Amino acid sequence: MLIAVLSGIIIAALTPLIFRVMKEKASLLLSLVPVFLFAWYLSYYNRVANGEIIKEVSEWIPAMGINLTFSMDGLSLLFALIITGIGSVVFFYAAAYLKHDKYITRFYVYILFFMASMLGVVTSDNIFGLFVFWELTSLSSYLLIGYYFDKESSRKSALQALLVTGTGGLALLAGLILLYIITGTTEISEMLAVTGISSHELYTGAVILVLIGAFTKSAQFPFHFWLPNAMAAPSPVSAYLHSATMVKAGVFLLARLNPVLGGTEFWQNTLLIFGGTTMVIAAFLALKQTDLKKLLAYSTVSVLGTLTFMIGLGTETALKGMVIYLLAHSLFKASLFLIAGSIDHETGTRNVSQLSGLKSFMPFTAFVAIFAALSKMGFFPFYGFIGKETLYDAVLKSGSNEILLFSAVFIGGAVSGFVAITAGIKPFIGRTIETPKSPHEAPLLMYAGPIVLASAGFIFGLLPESFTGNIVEKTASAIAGTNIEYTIKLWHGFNLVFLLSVVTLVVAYLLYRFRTKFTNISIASGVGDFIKPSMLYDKSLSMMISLARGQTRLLQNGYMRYYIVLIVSTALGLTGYVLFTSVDMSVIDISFDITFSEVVILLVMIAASITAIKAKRRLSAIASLGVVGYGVAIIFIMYGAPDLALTQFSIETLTVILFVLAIYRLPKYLPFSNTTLRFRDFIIAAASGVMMTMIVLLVTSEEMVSQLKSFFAENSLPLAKGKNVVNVILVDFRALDTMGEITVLAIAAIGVYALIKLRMEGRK
Amino acid sequence: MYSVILKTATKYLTPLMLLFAFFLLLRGHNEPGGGFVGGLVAAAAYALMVISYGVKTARKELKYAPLSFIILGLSIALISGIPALLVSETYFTGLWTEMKFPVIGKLGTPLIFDIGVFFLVIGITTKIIFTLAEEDQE
Repeated sequence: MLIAVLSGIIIAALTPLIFRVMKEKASLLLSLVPVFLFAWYLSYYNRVANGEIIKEVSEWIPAMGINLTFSMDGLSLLFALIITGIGSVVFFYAAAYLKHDKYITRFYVYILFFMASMLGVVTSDNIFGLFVFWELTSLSSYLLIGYYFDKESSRKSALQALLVTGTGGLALLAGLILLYIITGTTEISEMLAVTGISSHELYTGAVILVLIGAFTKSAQFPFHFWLPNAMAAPSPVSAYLHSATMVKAGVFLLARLNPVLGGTEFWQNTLLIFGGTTMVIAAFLALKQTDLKKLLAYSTVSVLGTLTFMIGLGTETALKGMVIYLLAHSLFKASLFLIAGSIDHETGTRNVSQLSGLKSFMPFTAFVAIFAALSKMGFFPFYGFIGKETLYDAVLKSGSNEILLFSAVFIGGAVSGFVAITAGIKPFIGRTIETPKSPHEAPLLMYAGPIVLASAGFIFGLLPESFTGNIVEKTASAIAGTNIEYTIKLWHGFNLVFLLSVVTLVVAYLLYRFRTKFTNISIASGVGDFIKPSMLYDKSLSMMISLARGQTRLLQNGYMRYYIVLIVSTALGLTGYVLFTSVDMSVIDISFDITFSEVVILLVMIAASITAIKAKRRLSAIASLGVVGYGVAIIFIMYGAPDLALTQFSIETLTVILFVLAIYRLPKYLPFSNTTLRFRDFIIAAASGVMMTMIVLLVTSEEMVSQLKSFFAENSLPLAKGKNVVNVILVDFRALDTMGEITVLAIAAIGVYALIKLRMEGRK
Repeated sequence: MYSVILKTATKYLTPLMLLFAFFLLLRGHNEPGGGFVGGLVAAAAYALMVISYGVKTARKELKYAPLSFIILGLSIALISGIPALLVSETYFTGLWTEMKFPVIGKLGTPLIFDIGVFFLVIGITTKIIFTLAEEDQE
C-alpha cells in the first residue's frame, strides 16, 4: 500500500520529463495512473468484503512510534475507490479541458501529488502518518486553487483555503497528540481496544481540537466560506478536490475516529448541531447563487453538513445512509461539476440565467447532466433516491426531536433538488439564449467520464445490493466500530418516507419555479450578510499583517548600531538574570598565575581596543580591531589550540580585506552620537565585557565534568582514524552539523551577492 | 593601486599559498589544518591577487566562477555521505581504506567531505570578495 501511495508522488516528480518526451499525449498516459490504481484497489475488494482488514507496516521514525502504517477496511477501500475512480474520470477530462493551457504540466504534477496524499489519508492507520498526508492535501489544494496564478482572486482564494485548512491542521495535530497521550498508542487500530477514553480528563480538549481540524477541512459552518471561493480553480479541480474527495477528508476523519471518540453526548450532539447548521445555512445561501459553480459549491457545503449530521445521529441506519449518500454524492456532484466546466468551456459563461436550451447543441452533455441531476434530486430509481430515503428513515427513527431534525434535513433535501434542477436540467431545456461563444458539443474525453459516473449512479440504484451492498455494510461497520448487517433495497413500498420523498421533489420544483422570489427572500433574510465568518477571517488577516509590519518597523529599522545595541543588551539581560539569580558566585577563584608574555599580549590588545574607539578614520579602526583579533589568536597558540589559532589568523586577515573593500562605498566617517548616547553605549559595552569575564572565571574555577571531552579524545583515533580531534569532530562525528553549516554559508554568500548586485542594478 | 613590489611578491606568494592551502587540507585529519582553514588560505591567495592585479585577473586565475566552486563543494560534501548508505550504515558514517599514506594517513570518506568544505569555502570567500571589489570599480 505504501507503494500505491508513493507511486503518485514519484510519477508527479517524473511528470515534467514525461511531458517533454510525449508532448500532448502525456496527459493521456498520466490518466492511466488512477485507472491502474483503481484496478489495484479493486483487487482487494473480495478480501475486504469478507471482513478482512489488511495491514502493512513500514518503519519511518520507529524511535517515536511513528511508522507508515497502512490498513485497509471497508471505509478505507470505499474512499480509495472513490479517489482513484473519480480521479480517472477527472484526469481524462482535464486532458481535453486544459489541452491548450500553457501550464498543463503543472496541473498534472499537482493533481498526482494530491491523489497520492489523499490515498495516504484514507489508508493510514498511524495518526501522525495520517496527519502528514492530511497537510499534503491542503498544500496541493492550495497549488490547484491558485492554478490561474495570474489572477489576483485565484491567489487570494488559494491563500484563504490554505490558511483556514492549515489552521485547522494545527488544531488537528494538537488533538492527535492529546489522543496519543490518552491512549498511549499512535495506531488507530490499537486505540479501538483502549477503554475509558471518554472519561479521561483530556477527552473534551482532544475532541474539540480534532473537530476543528475536521470542520475546517470539510467546510463546516463557520469555516465554510473558503469552499465557494475555491471555485477559482479549474473545473476538474473543483469536481475532484472540492466536491468528491478532499473536502470529504474531514468527514472521513470523523468517521474514522467515531469508534474511538464517539458514543458520548458531547461528540454526537456537537456533530449534530454543526452538521445541521451547516446544512441549513448553506442551503439558504445556495438559493441566491447565479454562478453555476458557486451554486454547486454551496450545495456541496450543505451535503457535507448532512454527512456530519448523520455521523452525529449515529444510529445504524444513519451511518448506512451516510455511506450511501456519500457515494451517491461523489458520483453525481463530480459529474455536475465537470458538466459545469464543459458548459463554461463551450459557451463562455457560467451564469445560470444566461443558459437555456443547450440540449440540441450538446446532446451527450445534456444526457449526463440530466442523469446526474435526477440522482441528486433523489429521483426513483437512482442511487441518490436510496440515499435520501435512508436519511429520512434514520431521522424519523432517531427517537428525539424528530420534527426539528427532520425539518433541517428536509430543507437540505429540497434545496439540493432545487440546485439539481437549476444546474443540471435548466441549462439544457427551454428556448435557446445567445451565449458569449456559440455553443457546440464538448470533446469526447469531456463527456465520456461523466457518462460513466452518471450511469454508475443509475446502475447502483437499480441493483444496490449486488454492486454496493458489501462495501456499504463494511464501511458502516468500520464507522460504528461494531458489525452492522444490512441489505440495501431500492423499493421499500408506499410508506411515510416515500411520501416525504415525493413532497421534497415537489417543493424543489416549486423553489425552482418561483426561484426569483426565493432568491429575493434569501437576499432579504440577510443570512449571507448577517452571518459572515469570512469577515472575521479578513479582519484577523489584516490585523496580523499590521502586527508584523509594526514589529518589523520596531525591531528591524535598518540601523546597524541599533541592532548591535539590541542584540548585546538582550544577551546581557538574559544571561545576567541567570547569572545573578541561580549561580553561586562564591566559587569564583581569582588566584591564578599570569605570565609576562600574557601581560604583554593583553596590554597590546587593550591599547588596540582604545585606538579602535578613538580612531578618526575607519581604516585605522579596522586595523586596530585586526590587532585585537591577532592577539586572541596568539592566546589560542599559547593554550595549545593551534587549529583555532590558524583559523582565527585567516579569518582576521580576510575580514580586514573585506572591510577595506567595503569601506570605499561608505559615506564619510562622521560621529552621529552625542555624549549621552556614548555614555549609554559605554555602559552596555562595559557591562557585556564584565559579564563575559565573569562567565569565563566561573567556568574555569569549577572543574566541569564533560563526558564529551573524554569521549572525543579517546575515540578520535580508534573510531575516526584521525589524531586532530577538532577536525575529526567537524568532518566525522558531527559531519551532518557541518553539512548544515556549510549550506548556510553558501546561502549567506548568495545573499551578500544578491544584496550588492541588486543595489548596483538599482543605481543604473 | 599600483605597486611593483606587491605585484612581484604576489607572483611568488600565490602559488606558495595555494600549495600550503592544499597541504593544510590533506594533513587536517591528524595535524592542525583541515578543509575550512585550507579554503580560507586559498581564498586569501586570490584576495591578494585582487589587491595587486585587480578583480579581472583574479577571476581569470580562478578559472571557474566562484558559484561553481560553491556548487562543487556542496555536492562533494553531500555525496561523501552516500557510500555509508551503500553498506547500510547511517548517512555520513565514515568509511576508510586500510592503506596508509604519508601526511594524509588513511584514506576515507571524511577526507572527501573535507575536500567539499575546502572548495565551498574558496567559493563563498572569493564570491564575496570579488563582488565587493567589482562594486568598488564601478
